[in-house]
Amino acid sequence: MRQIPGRLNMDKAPASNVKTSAPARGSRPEGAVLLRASGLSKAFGSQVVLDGVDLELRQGEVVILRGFNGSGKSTLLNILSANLEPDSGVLELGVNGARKIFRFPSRWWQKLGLKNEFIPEFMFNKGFGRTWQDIRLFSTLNLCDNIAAAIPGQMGENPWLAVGRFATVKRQERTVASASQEELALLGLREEGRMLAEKLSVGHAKCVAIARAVRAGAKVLCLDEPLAGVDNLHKKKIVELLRVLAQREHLTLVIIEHSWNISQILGLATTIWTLEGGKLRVEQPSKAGSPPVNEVSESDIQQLGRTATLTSVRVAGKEASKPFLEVDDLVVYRGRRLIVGDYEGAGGKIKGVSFTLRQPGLYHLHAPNAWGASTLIEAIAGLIPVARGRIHLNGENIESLPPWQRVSAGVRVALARANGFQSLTVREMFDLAQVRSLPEGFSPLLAKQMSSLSGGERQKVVLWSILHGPEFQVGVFDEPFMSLDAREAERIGDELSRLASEKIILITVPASTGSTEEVIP
Amino acid sequence: MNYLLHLTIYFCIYAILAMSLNVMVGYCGKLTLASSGYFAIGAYAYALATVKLGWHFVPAIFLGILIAALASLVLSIAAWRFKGDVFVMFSLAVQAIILGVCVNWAVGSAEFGTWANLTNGPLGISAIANPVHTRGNFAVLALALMGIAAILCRLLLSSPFGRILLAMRDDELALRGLGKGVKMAKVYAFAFSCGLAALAGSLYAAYLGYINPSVAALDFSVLWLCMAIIGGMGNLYGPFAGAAILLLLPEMLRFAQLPTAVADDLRLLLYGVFLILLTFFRPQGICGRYRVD
Repeated sequence: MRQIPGRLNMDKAPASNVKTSAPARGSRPEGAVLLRASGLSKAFGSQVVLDGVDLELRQGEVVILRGFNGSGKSTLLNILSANLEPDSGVLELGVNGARKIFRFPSRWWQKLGLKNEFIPEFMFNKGFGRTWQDIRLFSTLNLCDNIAAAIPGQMGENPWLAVGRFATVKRQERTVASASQEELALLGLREEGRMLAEKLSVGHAKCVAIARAVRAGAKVLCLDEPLAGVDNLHKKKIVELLRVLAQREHLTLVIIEHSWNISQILGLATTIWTLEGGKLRVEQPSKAGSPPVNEVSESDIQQLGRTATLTSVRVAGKEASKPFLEVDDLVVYRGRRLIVGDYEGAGGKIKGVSFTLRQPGLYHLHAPNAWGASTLIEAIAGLIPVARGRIHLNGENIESLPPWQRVSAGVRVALARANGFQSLTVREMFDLAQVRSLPEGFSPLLAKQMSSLSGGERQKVVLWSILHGPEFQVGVFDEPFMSLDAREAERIGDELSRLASEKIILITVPASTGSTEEVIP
Repeated sequence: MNYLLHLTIYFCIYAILAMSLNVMVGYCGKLTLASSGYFAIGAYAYALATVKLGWHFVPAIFLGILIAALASLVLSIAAWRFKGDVFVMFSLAVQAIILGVCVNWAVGSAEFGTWANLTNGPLGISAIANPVHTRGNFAVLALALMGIAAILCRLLLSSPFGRILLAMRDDELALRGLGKGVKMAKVYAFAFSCGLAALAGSLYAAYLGYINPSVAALDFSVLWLCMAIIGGMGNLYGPFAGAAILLLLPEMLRFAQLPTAVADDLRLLLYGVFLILLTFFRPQGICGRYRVD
């Protein structure tokens, strides 16, 4: 039986290991070159995303890859993991002493796919793994199987052996199952092994996805926004996990992250790559500026359940006689799982979520992952049935209204994961949303399909369609800044503050602005 | 008693077909309409091998399975590239071609069984050898073959191979990004699925003793797909539940003493109503966890 290669030794690695192997911050490790790219270019239609990118990745480096929305961070990552072929350039791999050179554009016989080695599974077997911005766990498998599916060297993956030597395969299955269970236990998910991956909260799912790639045997791990949409508690966990990977397991990491999360991983970084105008700039982390931190002054805090709070950041105008938005004792289930609401005491009684917003203003909903903020928003929008409770808008009861009538009543909702209609062009999106004046900076995007935009650009289009569409009274935004860059986030933030003088603007904050710890005791 | 044995044999044939579709649609997530084509390949291979070559039951069945497994390469290689609706259309094309071959590989006056007239066209092939002489024995044979198929399914699908298929169904790109090749997994899974369909086809030909090109008709593919979906996809028990339900439902009408024409119409109506009810109340099927989109 084949041995299953090493796993994340979060607890067991000797402490002395850390000192000897951890590269000091700011100094580039002088390990062997694992990957060298020169002149990588990629254009989508007429839009040049990468324009002659040269880079070099050494053993033990921790690289932070940054850049504005649409600057090509994900494109570069897709090329490095062979999910996308560059238009031109040379890519040279050198893992485990074996060298492999890819030249682009590839020849016609390679394009036929007969002997094309520039494919994700080949790159992975050379040690280049990745995680995805949208996580991509196997949603209908449980967590244990999610990790077990990735473990290399399983005999039973060959159907002939699965039938012919089923007893051996079964024995190996037990080893694999306990190895994946152990892996989950290290992530603090011992009890959740049988849980379906689709039910997992973002923070946990990102941990599992990282562990899965490491367990599959990645030596170089590219992480696409590992901290986006994750609350502070899980953020710490993920950063700790990355630290273990980099310093104890000697993995080489390439991390895409947005500016406000960079401060948390800057301590790990040995190199900063900045993509701008299709070019890559290599810097030392000491020279990279620290990101801005939003300071908010909380004046009025409503406690929602045990762990979440609703903060009025800025209120304007007089208190209206009737509350703008009133949510009373709301309880929402997904399937049989209680999402919004808390169990109270041992009797199984459920306390719903209640809050009242009486004045126009900007409100922050601080909630940890898995608290159900997104579900609460869907309930306000009428997209998910409500088990109990009332939702009032201007004193009118709206929970019997279908979603489209709630929109005419003045509610607007931006969901975190539904980034517009993929097959429409940006212009069609704006037309659909009845945006009268086109915001500046969108003209190069107008003719493009939503599906061809980057995650941040899609988010931008959806937000502007709401902000510049027809009048509304209550806007609820689920993590609006999640995949925006600093410049864009500031622009949207200004816009939201401006609107907050006469409307209710409620945004959920995934505890990433740094203020949550002060709010939640 | 005879009637019960007849039902048992049909149940075995249907259950094997539902298992076949469960592998392809439930585990691989590729909706196929070509299953009746592979069923026909099995039936014709068995019929020709026994009638013209005088082969015995077991080698004749293996011939059918082998040809179907080889022919499944058409689907699996297509599945390397196509997914979703395009793959469904492709499988429909495969079914249409096989049906066309069954109907048309018969040049008027040529003798049946030669290269000029392989399938005997619309007239079909009759006097196909039955390996056992009583219906009771045939039922035992069918049960045994179904049992073997079920054990193979269980070994394959609850092994790491089955897990790779499920992961591939959920997110192929993510699986490839973990260093697992998916091309050969598709080839094997499709060959297994099409081989099962051919096994059912051979049993069918042996039981009835007569086949004609209608075995490759689209209606059959749809009926079996309904069985697999109603039973529930992506697990090992769904196929049996689906086969039993869709077999017994119309049979119950037999006891209602209705005129045949009315009963036939009623049967179709029942199918329809049942499917609609199911989509409302249990879209993942009776035993299923996975919803076919």
